[in-house]
Amino acid sequence: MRESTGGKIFVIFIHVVLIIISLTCILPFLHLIALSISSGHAVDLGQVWFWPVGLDFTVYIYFFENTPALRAFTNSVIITLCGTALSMLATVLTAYPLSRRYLYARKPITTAALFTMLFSGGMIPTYLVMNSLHLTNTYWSLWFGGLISTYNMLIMKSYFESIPGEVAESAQIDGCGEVQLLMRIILPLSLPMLATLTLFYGVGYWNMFMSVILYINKTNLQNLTVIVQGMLQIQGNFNMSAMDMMQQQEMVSEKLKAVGVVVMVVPMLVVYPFLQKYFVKGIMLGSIKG
Amino acid sequence: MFGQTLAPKMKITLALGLSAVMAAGAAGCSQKEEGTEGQAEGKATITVSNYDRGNIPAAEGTVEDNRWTKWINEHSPVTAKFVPVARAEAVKKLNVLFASGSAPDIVNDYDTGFRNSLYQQKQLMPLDDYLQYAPEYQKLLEKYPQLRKIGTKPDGKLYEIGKINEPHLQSVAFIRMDWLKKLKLEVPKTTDELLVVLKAFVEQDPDGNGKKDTYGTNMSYTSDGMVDSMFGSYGWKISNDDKIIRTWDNTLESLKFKKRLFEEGLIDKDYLADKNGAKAKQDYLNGKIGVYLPPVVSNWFESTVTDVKTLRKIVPEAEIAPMAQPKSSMGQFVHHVVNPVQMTTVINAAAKNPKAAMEYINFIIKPENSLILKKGMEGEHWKKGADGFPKVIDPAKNAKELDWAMDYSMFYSIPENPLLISTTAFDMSDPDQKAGLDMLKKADEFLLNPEAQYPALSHYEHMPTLSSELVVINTNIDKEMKDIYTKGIIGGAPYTPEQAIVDAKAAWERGGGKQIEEFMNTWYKENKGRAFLGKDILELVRSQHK
Repeated sequence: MRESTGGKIFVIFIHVVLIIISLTCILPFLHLIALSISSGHAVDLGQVWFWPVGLDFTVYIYFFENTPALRAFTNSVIITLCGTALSMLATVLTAYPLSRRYLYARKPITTAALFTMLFSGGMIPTYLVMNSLHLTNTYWSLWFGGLISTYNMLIMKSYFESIPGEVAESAQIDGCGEVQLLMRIILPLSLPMLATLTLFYGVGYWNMFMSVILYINKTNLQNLTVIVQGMLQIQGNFNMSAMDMMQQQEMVSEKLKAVGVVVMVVPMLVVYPFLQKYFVKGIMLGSIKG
Repeated sequence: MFGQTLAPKMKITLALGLSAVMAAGAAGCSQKEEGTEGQAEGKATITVSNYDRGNIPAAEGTVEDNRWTKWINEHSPVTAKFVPVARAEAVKKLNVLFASGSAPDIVNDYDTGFRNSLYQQKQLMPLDDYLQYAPEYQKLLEKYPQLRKIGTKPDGKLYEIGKINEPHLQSVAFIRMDWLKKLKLEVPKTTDELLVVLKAFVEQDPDGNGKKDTYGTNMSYTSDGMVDSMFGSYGWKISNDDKIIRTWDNTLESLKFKKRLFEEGLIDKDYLADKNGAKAKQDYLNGKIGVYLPPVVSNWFESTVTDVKTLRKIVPEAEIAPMAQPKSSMGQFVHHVVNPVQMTTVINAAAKNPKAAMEYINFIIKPENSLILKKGMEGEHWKKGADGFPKVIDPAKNAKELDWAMDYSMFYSIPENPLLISTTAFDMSDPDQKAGLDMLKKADEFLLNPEAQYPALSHYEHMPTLSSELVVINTNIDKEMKDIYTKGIIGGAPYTPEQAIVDAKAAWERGGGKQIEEFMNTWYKENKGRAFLGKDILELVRSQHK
């Protein structure tokens, strides 16, 4: 069917809007990358926009040599990998039973889970719990603090529920137990959703901030977010810089901040394309025959 | 039917899953806590909070364990265990530590409101009985009675350890002397003269490029506070009948001046878009601003040497000088000053060994020890120069090994050790640095003008702390009034500054500002003798410059 002129204009209009929106997302980041690899002089004078002026990578070297960034980076990777694995495991193990209609007390358990979405213990009680369990200063405090995101769990649960009962039924007729059913039928069918939730959890753990500030009292366990946030915050606040008068190193340059943000964001950008292929894959292609 | 037969299996799976999670938790519990090593026999152990600014190279260790903590623990009479506190979230973190009963014995924090809240919650240890263990601090208290005055809380006991800061300006206006010379003008002495000069800077093409592309001055970010201080517009002042009142008159005059700056095109018309002052600074470094009002001068060396060098790369003939605050219709004021007496440190009421805590403080503030923590080891990080002052041997080495260690001696009074004062950073054999130091000295002299008053009721760190309800009221009204004032500046002819003041007053009344006024006056009546106000600040700073 041929589009009418009005339709064409509409499509062009949509494209323009989408391009503008994507530019507002991409350009600031390009600007930061350009800042991070331009010469400090050009940055001071505000000559850098989206293209680096006078290539200079020394700040990257400084960033990894003179700050705890490298150690923090490693920590971030550990927190993210283990945390995501643990969270996914726990979420699957919670969502799957709750998605089965024959689970005893299914409704009350779901309601209890929902309850935690609306009311939380609050900062200090949670800290007290962590402290009395001797979890502070270990990553377990980060992983257990939000092991299961109720929201993600509910997404997973309804996804499992959306898999036609006939699939499970036919498997069980063939003699498939619960564990096997989950591992061999349900999970392979849920790959797109699993990929999405893995990304959600991954980004969550990668960006984890407040819990690290609260529960981790040891510098060598801190993650990258805490380090980079510290760099961004300093000097941003007028009162603060006035208070810490003589601190030369307080004056973190715009360049160093840019490097911090770039280092922070790039790993997630790298991971995304690998998970993205699952998002576009068909969901239940050919799972039920006849 | 079908469901019922499977249910038991289901339960087993769920149980298995749960137990796997529990097992993981148990593994977490069994992780050993470290940190007992390095504890010499016989020494008392205390815990000390230390800012974590995320700037210690991984190779150097951590806030808790590095060459300087080792040095401290080797030489100090007590063993100190350090608790890192992220700088940006310090108050939140310390609050959680206090609430959970795991706060360190010695707490270092710059936030006055936070320390006051600790006092109100009875979390602080009164220090009077333990002062004998810190003779160095006792000496300081005798030399600067202000330290005791400010560190004493309403119950009459001493709770806070503080430090004396170097008596420099917190900010100063920098004026382009080469432009003045070119246009045959004088450094402006009054705000009216300032307007004339700024107009000339904008209209008479001082940079000689044939374009009208220069600004007179800047007002972005917090720089407009410099204009406010010319008029003593701070919010509060003491009236003639000795009460605390709002500075409506001063604010009106300041607003009128700002409106003229804006309407006559003497500042960047987009100044509100420059949220962090970066654009203004770039304009200044590109040689486009005649009178630069920096938001804050936190590092004099940078402002008077590094920045000037950058500027000269663009405009080789540029000449910069600090400018005293011009006299306004409301009188003569000085610039804001770095807080001369700054409280930094308190001791936890739950500290098991306050004597050891005081001994630790005493150890750190011995001038020879603070010299090491601030400048490093002689021969390794610095050597004595011809003038007798420490000279850095290798700045790159110091950046790696030393520059992050300053917070360990956060409560040290720099002016007490002549080897540490910041003016020694200027190398007199370098003409640029000598010029920089001259600028700093000239700026210091502005403080000595006997006619000039302090532009605020007090330094903000010495203002009384509002209760949390009043803070909410204050924040809301403040936001509303700021918007009104901004409208007064950019609103054109129909919205006059007078109208803005009328509206701001109405917003103040409506929002509950009277409660804050009452609180301020009650506070003033009760604390008149103890309060550290603007005149006390000037008096102390002036005495330091003599």
